[in-house]
Amino acid sequence: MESKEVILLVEDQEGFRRIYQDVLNADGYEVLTAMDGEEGWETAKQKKPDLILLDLGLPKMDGFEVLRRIREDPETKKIPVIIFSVIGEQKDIQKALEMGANDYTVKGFYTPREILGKIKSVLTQADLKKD
Amino acid sequence: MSWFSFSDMRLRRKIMVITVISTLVALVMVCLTFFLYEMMTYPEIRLKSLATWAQIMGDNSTAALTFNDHKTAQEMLATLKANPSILSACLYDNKGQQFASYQRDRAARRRYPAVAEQAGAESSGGSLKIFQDIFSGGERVGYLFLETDTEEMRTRLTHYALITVLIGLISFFISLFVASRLQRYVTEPLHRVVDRMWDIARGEWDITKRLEVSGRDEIGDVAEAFNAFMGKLQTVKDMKSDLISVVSHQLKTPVAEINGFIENMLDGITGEVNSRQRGYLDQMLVIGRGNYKLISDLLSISKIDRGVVSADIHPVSAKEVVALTIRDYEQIMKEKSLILRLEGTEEGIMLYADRDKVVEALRNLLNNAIKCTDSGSVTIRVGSEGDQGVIEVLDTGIGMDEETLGSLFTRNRVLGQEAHRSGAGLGLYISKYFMNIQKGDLTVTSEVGKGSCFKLVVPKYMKQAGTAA
Repeated sequence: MESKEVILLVEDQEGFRRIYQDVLNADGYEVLTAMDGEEGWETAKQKKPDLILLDLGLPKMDGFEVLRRIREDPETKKIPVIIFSVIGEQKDIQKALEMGANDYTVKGFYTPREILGKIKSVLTQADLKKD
Repeated sequence: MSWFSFSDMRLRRKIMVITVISTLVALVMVCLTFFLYEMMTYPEIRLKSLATWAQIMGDNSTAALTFNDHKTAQEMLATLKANPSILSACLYDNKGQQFASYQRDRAARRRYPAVAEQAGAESSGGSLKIFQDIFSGGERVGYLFLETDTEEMRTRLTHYALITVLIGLISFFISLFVASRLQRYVTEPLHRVVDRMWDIARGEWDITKRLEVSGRDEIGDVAEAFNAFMGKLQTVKDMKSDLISVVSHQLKTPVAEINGFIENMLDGITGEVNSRQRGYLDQMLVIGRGNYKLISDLLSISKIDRGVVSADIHPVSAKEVVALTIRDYEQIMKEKSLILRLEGTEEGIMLYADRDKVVEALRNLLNNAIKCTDSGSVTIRVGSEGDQGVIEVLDTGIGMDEETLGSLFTRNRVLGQEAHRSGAGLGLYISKYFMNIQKGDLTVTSEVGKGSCFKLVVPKYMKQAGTAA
């Protein structure tokens, strides 16, 4: 791997941000963080990360709106997005998947390490598509 | 109070008793009326009839009196035999001397009175008597005395009484029969309403159920009132669900965050962890995951209550499901010195299911198995039956009796006295529900003292067909 892969974490809970930033850093990823929807969208557009972890319940602009903008913009529409949900949001997840999210995971139900596994497999699939 | 209590009687009997009693009362009243009427009017009728006889006799005897013909007068009086109720008769001449006489029973020898000062009738001593002047051409030629008994009236009244008793008996049986037929129109709709109420009361808390309101009578009113009550109950239940939902959403993020931090520390992300620290962190994670599970269960219940649970079905390997299930419990099993056996996980069985929900169900089963087992082993066995994938969780624990098994998958256990037992309440109810919404099922067999076997079934993924049935 020549350069570090960049992952954007859009999450308003400080705890989750730190947990996932730490676990991704420990595994050698570069992590960008955003605390709300607007910041998330701005960062995605400017930095074009390799993958976005997107919470749905965000201040200022909700996750669905961020996802819609990412998928509508030609520069960002290829970026894989994993919905970063909490338990009990089955309907929201379904909606996000229909809107073009690549996958979803449930914070708390799975350990950070298990979620890391999912991130890796989504990245691998995205790499395969690119080639 | 006493062995016989009207208020304790079944409605069916009450209706019959009421019908029969009112029928009999009406009948007795009618008979009594006739009886009294007869008592009041009969003597008058008799008297008129007697007066008629006296008139005829008087008219017929004028010639005999005028010509002093005793023989003809005697023969004429003898014709009174035709009327058996006439006891005696006597004809007097105009001087008041007996002229001719008649006795129904010669042996009775009834006395004839002396000529009364004036004509008239009197009733005494069970007999009716009449005196009549006999006129011929405006001149009194004699007198006639007639006496009749009241035997006929007594006979009539006896007949009345007999007829009353007979009709009474007949109408008793008819009204009994009619009442036993008609009472159904009251009791049957009531029974239906009561049965439906019990259905709902014994049921699985499905308070969206309503009674069908049939008819505008009181039974319809009962059904309507019950439905209104159920509506109120529904509102209360919805409020409870909403409260649980809001509180759980607020709780789950901090709990999940704490668990995440602990997991990262145990993962060594924050640096080397020594064995004592690891011991503490392991304990914290067990507690944290327990809390997380409780919150998840509460959320699931409130979702089931609001009917918003859906399954996200994809192909998933049984091995992955089992791996995700056991990772939370390896620590606890180590502490309890329980052996975990995995069977059939390497056979590559693919399920067509909602991974998270199957994992949650399996975690519930494993959690229970560990709780109920103090020594020995817990086995997770993967296999298949036809086009169904099967995952069984077997323990060597205390097992369950029939009664416990009967209420195992209901949520009544949580609402009842057993609610205080740690956790085990909601999990199985939720697990079975989760399996049922993805064409699967959850069943159990158990033997007291030997252990239990929970069997989870979900459709297998058929590669050839592309999707499962």
